[in-house]
Amino acid sequence: MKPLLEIRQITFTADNKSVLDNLNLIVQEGEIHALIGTNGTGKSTLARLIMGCEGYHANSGEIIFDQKQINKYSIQKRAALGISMVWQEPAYFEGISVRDYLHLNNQGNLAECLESVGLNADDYLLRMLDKTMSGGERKRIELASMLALRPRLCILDEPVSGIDLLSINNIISVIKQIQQQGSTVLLISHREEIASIADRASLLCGGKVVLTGTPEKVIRSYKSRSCNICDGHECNYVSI
Amino acid sequence: MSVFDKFRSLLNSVGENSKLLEDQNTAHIAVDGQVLLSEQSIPGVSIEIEQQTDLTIASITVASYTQVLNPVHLCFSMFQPIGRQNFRVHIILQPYAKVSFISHGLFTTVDTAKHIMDKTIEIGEGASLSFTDSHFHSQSGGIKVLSSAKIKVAKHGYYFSNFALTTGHVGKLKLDYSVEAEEHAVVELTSRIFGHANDTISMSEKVCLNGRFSHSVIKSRVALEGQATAVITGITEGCAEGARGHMDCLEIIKDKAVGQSIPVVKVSHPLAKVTHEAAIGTIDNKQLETLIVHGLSPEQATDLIVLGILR
Repeated sequence: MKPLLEIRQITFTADNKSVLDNLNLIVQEGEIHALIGTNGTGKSTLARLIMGCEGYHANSGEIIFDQKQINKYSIQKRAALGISMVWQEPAYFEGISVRDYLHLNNQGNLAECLESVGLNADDYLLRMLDKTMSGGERKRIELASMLALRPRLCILDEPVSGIDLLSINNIISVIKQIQQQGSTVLLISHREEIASIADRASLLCGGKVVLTGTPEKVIRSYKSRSCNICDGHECNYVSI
Repeated sequence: MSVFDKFRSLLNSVGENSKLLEDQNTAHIAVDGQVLLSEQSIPGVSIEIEQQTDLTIASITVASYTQVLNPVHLCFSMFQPIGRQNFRVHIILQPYAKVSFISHGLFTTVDTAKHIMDKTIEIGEGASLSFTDSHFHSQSGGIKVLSSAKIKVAKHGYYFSNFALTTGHVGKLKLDYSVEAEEHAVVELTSRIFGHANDTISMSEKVCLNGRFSHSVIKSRVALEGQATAVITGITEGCAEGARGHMDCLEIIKDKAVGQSIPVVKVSHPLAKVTHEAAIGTIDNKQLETLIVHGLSPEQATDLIVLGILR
């Protein structure tokens, strides 16, 4: 495997507070890479930096995608390279149907994509993506859109938030399906059962990746509540 | 080509089927300027027209317990590039009648003109009226639309109105609707307007929830670009036990456009409740970025979001 995404020495501050501090991360092409950490460690910030969202530009360091430095690329250009993302709390849209949404630049069968995430196409294709939809339904539509879109890198920020416990296994199988379709997945989660499906995992602490390895090893460190690795006084684990 | 043929062609061009004007089961009125082109009553729906020099007056009555299958069509055009159209309509729904109206303002060839529409509507007990008012304007920006309505909804009655002006330039729009709702009546007022260039939009919608457990929603969706301006006033008065009202105004602005929302909430009964929400601003960034990561350009994403709220 070769690296698809490399984060080199990324630093990001917001409101004069360091959020990411010389962070390094390598995501290999074709893998599911879980990024684990407690709330506030900068996981979602890193996702937005990779995607190039407005207001999220690194102070220093490099983001390398497919051997290209993309720091200065707009979100549109990054999307054109094949980077896509599911937000932790997806946006709602008035007057845009599920069918319209899944049609955007898609490569898959819409009905099959919906069925994969546990939604009946007959019931949902004409539904609007507005506030009449629950958070869980909206999140499933986003995952279905990733199945339809087939990006090269799919960033999933907390993909099971808002999903009922009984459906978590379904979402896990969808994430695996996204990978099987050829996408590399950066899976951001603080839930052990989700992170455990990854091929590799990294632990984020104090704005740094402090450990990368098998999910079992990283989760063990995460659960021990002591990273013993980072040297920062803002370590999220020793302070708990 | 006769005026009537031109009228039919215009109706087809906006996605309607002009054969409705020949359908024996569809009540309609078709007016060009001040000239009555066609009208038809059907069993249960009586239409009477009185024409004065510069005013057309229509009285439409839907008989008790009549459920009208096909919408009643009110079609207006102005083929003269400069002109004035003055129309007054009085609609009465007798108790438990159920009907929908579709009004077409076909002003796609107008240069400078004024369209005045004055409606009074009485919805009887348990009756239901759905009124869709769609305008199609030219790009001239020279049309003035003055539309007013006074509506009374008797107990257990239902009134739904949907005003749309999203094709062509608005010109100047002044819309003034006022609804009184009695016990258990339900009122929904929806408007969707797209202002461009120097368009000026002034809209006031008022609902008085006078009856116990009467409900209402006023929903306004406005997109503005260029130097267009809009002042959207929503007024809801809750005056009785169990009355519930909500107002929801969303305005998206671009360029140098200016949007304003004025919600007025008045509650005079301790068991009534009225709420409102308004959002005015540019396109929501999260919505925009979500569509961009799905492969749209920022311009395509903006167009889709605007189209969505006006749909």
